[in-house]
Amino acid sequence: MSDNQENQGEPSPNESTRDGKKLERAAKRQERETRAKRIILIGSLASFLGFFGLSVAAQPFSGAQVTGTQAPASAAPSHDDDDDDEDHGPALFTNGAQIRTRTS
Amino acid sequence: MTARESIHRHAFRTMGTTVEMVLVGGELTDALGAFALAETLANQWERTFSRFRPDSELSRMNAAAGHPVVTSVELFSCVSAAANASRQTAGLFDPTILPALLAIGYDRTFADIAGAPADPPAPAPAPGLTGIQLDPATRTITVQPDVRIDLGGIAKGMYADVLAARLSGWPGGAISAGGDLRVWGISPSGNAWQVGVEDPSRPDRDVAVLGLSDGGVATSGISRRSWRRGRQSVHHLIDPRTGTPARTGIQTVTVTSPTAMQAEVAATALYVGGEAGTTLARILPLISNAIIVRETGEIREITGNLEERPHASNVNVA
Repeated sequence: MSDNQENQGEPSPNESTRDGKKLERAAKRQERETRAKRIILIGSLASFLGFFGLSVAAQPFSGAQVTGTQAPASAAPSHDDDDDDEDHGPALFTNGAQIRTRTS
Repeated sequence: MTARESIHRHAFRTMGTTVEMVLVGGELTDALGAFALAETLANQWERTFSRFRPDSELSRMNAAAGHPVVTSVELFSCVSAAANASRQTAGLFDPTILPALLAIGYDRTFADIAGAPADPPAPAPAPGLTGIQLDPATRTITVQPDVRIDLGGIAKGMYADVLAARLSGWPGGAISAGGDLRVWGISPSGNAWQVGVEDPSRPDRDVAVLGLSDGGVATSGISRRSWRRGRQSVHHLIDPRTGTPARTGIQTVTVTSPTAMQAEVAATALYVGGEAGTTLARILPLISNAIIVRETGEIREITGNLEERPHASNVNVA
């Protein structure tokens, strides 16, 4: 029996490589589509939140579902910006605390 | 609380500081509505209470000193609360210290204060309640011609309390208005809220963690608002009795009380009055608990006369 006959019904090494590349391309295409859908979803959410003047900044917390919003970092300070906060950011969930005092 | 329940967080800049919120339970859409409410209320507070906006209701009232002014419910309530706080603390908390603050250079936003070359002018005691007349029937306030009112701290506490009342339908929540904190209901862990008390020497760390199920917390101190005026180091916590920055050997005072506003008042009064027995006799009936960090780094816990006893843990005694 020739090699061709032995390999009948099975892809040749060349065919196998071609199929592998096809599968790889299909997988990549699917990944791109999934990513695009994700971007559209996030974009829609951002637009929705933008209506409220908010931006998305989810942060994890021990096993519970957490959603978070935070004013954009580039937001202009208020007219009577009287603060002292150096980071201008929230200081939650540190050192085992769920919320912190801030000296004023 | 189960692990499936949601936690919603939001932070935004307003009133010259950062407001931080945590809501436990409920849906995202409801939380977004609550956050929008918080920002709307904060805008209203700025328009009413800011002393750095010449068009705020407070600034217009100060500018009209010597004449009766019909005020909004919010402004009248806050000035009334400040006057009451002044009586309760025997004048250690005083809303009429604004001229003293201006005299030491706090006449612009804190970020704009540079070390002024001149020494401050001779200090004078704050005029106190004699400089304010309140008429509840008409919500009219008359401040004497030489009197100016500052409501910065107490107005932030009032904001946290009012917002907490508006959101009381949530199973649990925490609101911090620049450190004036109000918590209620269940925490993210399902137990009492764990409130970190900022270490004045290292603000990224806590000196203690307080377990609190319902109430207010506030910290007064000079670590964030001190500057130089001529040859003097000055800060914003004015002793109304002298018109000068209080010198009590304390870095920070953290107080827990039934409301954020009451905690703010008590923390300020305790800082200004120091650890003297006469001060404590005035303040203890207003508080559940206090943590004092002295300039030496020593930490003192004080138990107040009110019922709720926050459980202090992880107290990092220096």
